[in-house]
Amino acid sequence: MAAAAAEATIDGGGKMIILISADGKRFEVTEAVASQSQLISNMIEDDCTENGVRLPNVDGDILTMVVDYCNMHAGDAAADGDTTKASSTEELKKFDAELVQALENPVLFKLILAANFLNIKSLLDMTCQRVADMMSGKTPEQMRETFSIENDFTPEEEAAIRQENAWAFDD
Amino acid sequence: MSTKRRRACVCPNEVTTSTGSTGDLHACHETGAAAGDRSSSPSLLDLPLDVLLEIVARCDAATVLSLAATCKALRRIILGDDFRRRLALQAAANGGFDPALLLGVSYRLHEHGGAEDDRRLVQAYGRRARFDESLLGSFTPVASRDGILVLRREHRDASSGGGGAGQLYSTT
Repeated sequence: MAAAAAEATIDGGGKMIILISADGKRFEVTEAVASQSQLISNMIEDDCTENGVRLPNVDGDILTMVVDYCNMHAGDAAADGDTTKASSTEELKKFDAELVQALENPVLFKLILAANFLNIKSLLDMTCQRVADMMSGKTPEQMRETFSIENDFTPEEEAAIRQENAWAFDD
Repeated sequence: MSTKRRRACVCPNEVTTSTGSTGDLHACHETGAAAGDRSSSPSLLDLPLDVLLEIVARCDAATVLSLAATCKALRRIILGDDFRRRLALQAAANGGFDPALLLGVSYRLHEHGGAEDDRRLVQAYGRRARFDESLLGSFTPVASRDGILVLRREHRDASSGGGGAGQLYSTT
């Protein structure tokens, strides 16, 4: 069964690139998969991926998700498509939805930081949208609970803010 | 090592991967979370400013105001110039007006023989009310202040239900 997954990565063709997480886990991916990260794409252009790419601020668990995501979306990026591995649009949508739905902070925030650092725009868009969706319709108090935000307003300040934008606080 | 750690929840076709996990969505998520270093868990405020702004820009106006009422740091960011600039750019890309900022339209019809106070308020939630610049072709701006724009249209065409004065509210 491991062979199936390994084959899938080789299927994409091209050179393989080793990504090394902060905790030393190694991920072997094709150039096509890795270059969805603008950061790595630039490194490939500059020919500095020979000894593997160290990602000191992305830990293994998060990098696993990122690599999964990039593997899944590799067909997407290679516009010529038609590879047997190319995932259908519907599969991709389902995959993306399941990926973000399953995430709660702080894993979600770590994934955002990784997407931002690696500069993978579609993943960053998707994760930012997830946070925006989580905020939608929540009261300030619910937001503080969800995102562990400390209320540092005095009661007077808070009352003034509520009054100023009363229409938004119909709770 | 390759990516054979693909989690079971990722793709239904590959449930029999080598993780040895239960294949349950929640179990996957929890192992991921547990493996993370909780002491250094990033919070919303640890996100870089541009990412935070990206998130806020995706929220509707009421949510943005709620967020601005959670703590001082977020309030500063939302009321700050960076976010304002971002909204301005977004609006510019939209032809000068950001429809997300339209809260509602209130208007009064003056029909021949109609009721004296036939005032109607249309809330913009769910994008039922929209404003596009072409309206300015048939309405005359009368005044604007604090995000409220007053437009007037003289009664011209009886069949259209008549003219009237309307106010467009938007956040500042």
